[in-house]
Amino acid sequence: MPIPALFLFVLLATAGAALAEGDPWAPALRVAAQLPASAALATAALAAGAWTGARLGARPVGTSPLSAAAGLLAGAGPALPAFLVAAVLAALTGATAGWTAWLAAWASLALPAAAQATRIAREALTERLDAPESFGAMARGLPAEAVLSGRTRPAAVGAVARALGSAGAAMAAGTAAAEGLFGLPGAGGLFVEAARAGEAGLALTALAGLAGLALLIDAAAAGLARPDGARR
Amino acid sequence: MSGGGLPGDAARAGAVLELRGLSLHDGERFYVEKASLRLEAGEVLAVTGDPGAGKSLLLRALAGLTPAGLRREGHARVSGRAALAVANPALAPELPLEHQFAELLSATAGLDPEAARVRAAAALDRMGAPSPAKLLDLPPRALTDALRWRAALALAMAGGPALLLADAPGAALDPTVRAELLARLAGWAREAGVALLLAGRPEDGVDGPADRVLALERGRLGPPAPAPAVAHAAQHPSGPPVLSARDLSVAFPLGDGRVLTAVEGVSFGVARGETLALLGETGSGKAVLARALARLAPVSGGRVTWMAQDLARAGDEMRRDIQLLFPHPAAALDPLMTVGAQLTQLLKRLRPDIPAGRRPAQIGRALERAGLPAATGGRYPGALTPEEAARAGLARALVTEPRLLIGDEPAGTLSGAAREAFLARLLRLQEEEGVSLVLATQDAGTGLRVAHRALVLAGGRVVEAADAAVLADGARHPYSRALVAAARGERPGLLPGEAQGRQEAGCPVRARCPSARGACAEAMPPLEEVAPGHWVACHGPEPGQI
Amino acid sequence: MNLPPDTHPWPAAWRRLTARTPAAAGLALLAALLGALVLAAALLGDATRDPLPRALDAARISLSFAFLAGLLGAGIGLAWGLLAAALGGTAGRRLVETARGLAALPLVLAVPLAGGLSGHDKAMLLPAAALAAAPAVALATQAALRGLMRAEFLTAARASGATGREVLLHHLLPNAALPLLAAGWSALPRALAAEGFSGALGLGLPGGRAGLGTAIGAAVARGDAAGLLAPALLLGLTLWALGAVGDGLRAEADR
Ligand code: SF4
Repeated sequence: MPIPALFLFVLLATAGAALAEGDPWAPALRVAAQLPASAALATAALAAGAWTGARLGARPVGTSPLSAAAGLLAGAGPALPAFLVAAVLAALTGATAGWTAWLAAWASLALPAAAQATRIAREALTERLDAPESFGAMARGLPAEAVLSGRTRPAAVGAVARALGSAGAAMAAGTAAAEGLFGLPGAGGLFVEAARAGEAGLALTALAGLAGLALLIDAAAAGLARPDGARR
Repeated sequence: MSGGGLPGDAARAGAVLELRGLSLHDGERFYVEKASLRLEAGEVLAVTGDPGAGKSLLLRALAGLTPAGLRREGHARVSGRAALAVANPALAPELPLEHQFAELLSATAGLDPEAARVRAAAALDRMGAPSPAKLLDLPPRALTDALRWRAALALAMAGGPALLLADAPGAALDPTVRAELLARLAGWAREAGVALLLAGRPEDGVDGPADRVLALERGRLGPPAPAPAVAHAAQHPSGPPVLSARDLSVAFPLGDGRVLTAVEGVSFGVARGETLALLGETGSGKAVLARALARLAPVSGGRVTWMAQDLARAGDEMRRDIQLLFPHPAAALDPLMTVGAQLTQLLKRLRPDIPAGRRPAQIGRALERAGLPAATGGRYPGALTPEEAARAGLARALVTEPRLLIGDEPAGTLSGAAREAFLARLLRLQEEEGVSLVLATQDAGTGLRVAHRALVLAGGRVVEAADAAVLADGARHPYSRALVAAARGERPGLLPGEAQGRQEAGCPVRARCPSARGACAEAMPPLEEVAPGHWVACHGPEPGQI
Repeated sequence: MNLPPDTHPWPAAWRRLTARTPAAAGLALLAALLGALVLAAALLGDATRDPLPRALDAARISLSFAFLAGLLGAGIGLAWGLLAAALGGTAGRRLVETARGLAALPLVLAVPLAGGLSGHDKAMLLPAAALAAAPAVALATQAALRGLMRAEFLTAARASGATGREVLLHHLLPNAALPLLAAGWSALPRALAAEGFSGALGLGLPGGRAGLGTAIGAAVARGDAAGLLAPALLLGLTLWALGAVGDGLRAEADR
């Protein structure tokens, strides 16, 4: 399903949910007002996570402590979904508002994103190092260092950039969990509140807003990745 | 064309490469043993050997890239820089060519991007690439295989090496395209005074443009052994055709109402015990034609008869008579079933007349005739070597006791002696049992050697048909002549370009034909008999004198 | 690894799978967890007040939930992907595009939504988790089958007179088993994560004796970091193990 069709679907769902509520525009307006906060949280976390992961993962695999840390992070990724990190941080800090809560929410979204990015970058790096084109370039006379800096490292970063284009769903879900657990304002917090209170109209509207956020993140990331992706 | 802009114009004097007793081993096994050779500037040497003979390792060692774990002994001296072109184009698929040239030329020759671009364009032109300037902006992913090879070799030569080592250059390309490519490479090396070492399997055509040929056999480098007792077609059998095709066309529906015509208006007959070769490049329609005869491709026009029966209307009993040998024998076997189980299944389906109790004996005999021990029946396809897989494919074809075998590059995965042995076995079976053979192959040398008659296909049409012996010495169509020349290692007389599929109108080879004229673009020339049994389709001035 | 040539490819694949460190560790972890669950259920009887047995009890419920929802989701996804591959053409492409579009949405949010709106009704949570996992399974299924359907050995079987049914049953499905297992397996960690996700928000399985997610949610609500430790660790490890086995299966299927 192409992105515009999905947007239409999301918009229709929002409108439908709002109409069912009786007061057609109140839930939609509330969600719309809260969405920028969620978008800011998600993008800040995703950007930090992807940047860190790409830096860590694009390092040559070796015995240095940093390389070991990268390996650990990449390996532990599947055990660290955002909601779990958020739950642990929420229980540890007890933060329900203020800067600590924002910071903790950001960290619980950024950590899984970094783990995932590290993993992707590492896999791309190893794959490219083993690829015939890398050996072929060295055999023609390109120094190994030039192959690494000019080819394999950009390829690893490029792989992370491309993967960002499908990170939206996980980020939107993670944002909902983090906002819900830390009691932060935002579409995600609204969604959790409404679901807890059994307010179907508001919950559905917020869900539609979060789905829209996921698609927006995907679209923006794909747009960002394209100039680089086309080259690698 | 001169080597303008390329380095190395001044011929270098003296030996560029000198080996005395060079060995490569890992402490247990010698991969190369006491190799000695001398290669002068501007000299072209071919080293042939079967897969696993040690060619790639030798080349890596000469380029100073000995794999970790291997030790080098003896004396090896290269004066100047050596560049290795590895056994596939090995270009970064997404980086524009210009970037890849600039990267290499700045590292090896310190050229700035502008100068690199000029030299790159010259090298691409030298390798026969059309419009080099446009090509430089493209990433290899957007190029055809042949263009990728031209670019890869141009890249290797643009770096200005004193010694260029090329590992199986263009091996997977059509022989016609490859022969032209190798001739260009060799011509450049001689002119620029670069020592060129071409390595490849015996059938990769690297010996064609070379001044000297050495063979690497189980690590030993020496003069090539005299050609093995190669398989040859037996006496041409005579008799009425058992298989005949009249005006046969094959078309695939494309789903949107259009059709893709792959073969058009082909007619021929094959007698009992006769071998017909279908020759042509990739996309010529030979493989599709072979599959249509095995009822695996949709016949859209014309008629094929087997023993005077219409193939299109025949039932399954005809499948026992006609069996296909696949181009990738290992991939044509179900990986989850033993070879024996697959043969049993085939017998159950196609030979219900054989009682279950006699099936093992029948299978054992088929394996034996294919040159495999009976125990192969208990093995899984994944555990077979290419040679065993090819033979298992043959055994599967033989188990129903067919009377017509259709081979689509049946020996395509084999090399050297194994290839010859397989073909010899096929011909022996034919002689002993009177089986008819239809062999589709891009290797005109093999095809004309083992067949009695041959059809040359281009763009889905027959452009020449004659007895194999006639074609081998007196092919008249420019395209047939190119196929035969390429098989001999000579430069084919076609212009650079690539194998082409079917075209709407006109001669299918006109884009590469040096004698093309106006009429060639307008209509497909009719097939005319130029001598008894020899048919040619060409608008050319005087077929035979082109 | 050198195997005798008459080894069936499946045992060979199993040996290669267990030779991969993460997959082997994942399998060992899962086996240990299942063993501990059985032992805990047999020895401890009803839930005690100690945190570890209680977490094990929750893990049993979570895993049962994940297993049922994963099975359902894998079933739906496999059927979806099989249908797309079988139909091919425009209809098949539509099915694939729908799955791709849905997989881009945060479907997991449907699970807490179902939990909240239904009053923690299992009968709503389970299908929601299954549906959230299905599109990804459908995509992997269709991709695996698309490659396999072009395999030359299927053509060879057809050339030997096999009917469409025989080709499907004797050749296509057996060879698709491993890729389909890898595709379907991915529904398990997704379903488990969905339970954890909604439970942590207090929108999961009903309270009392409930799953790991609910236990985590309760601990967060109490601000009880110590009480969080056991369920969070168990959930993280199980997710990791399921993921590692899934990666191994996928690598084997892609060989
Ligand atoms: S002369 Fe014309 S008809 Fe003959 S091969 Fe050339 S292009 Fe074709």
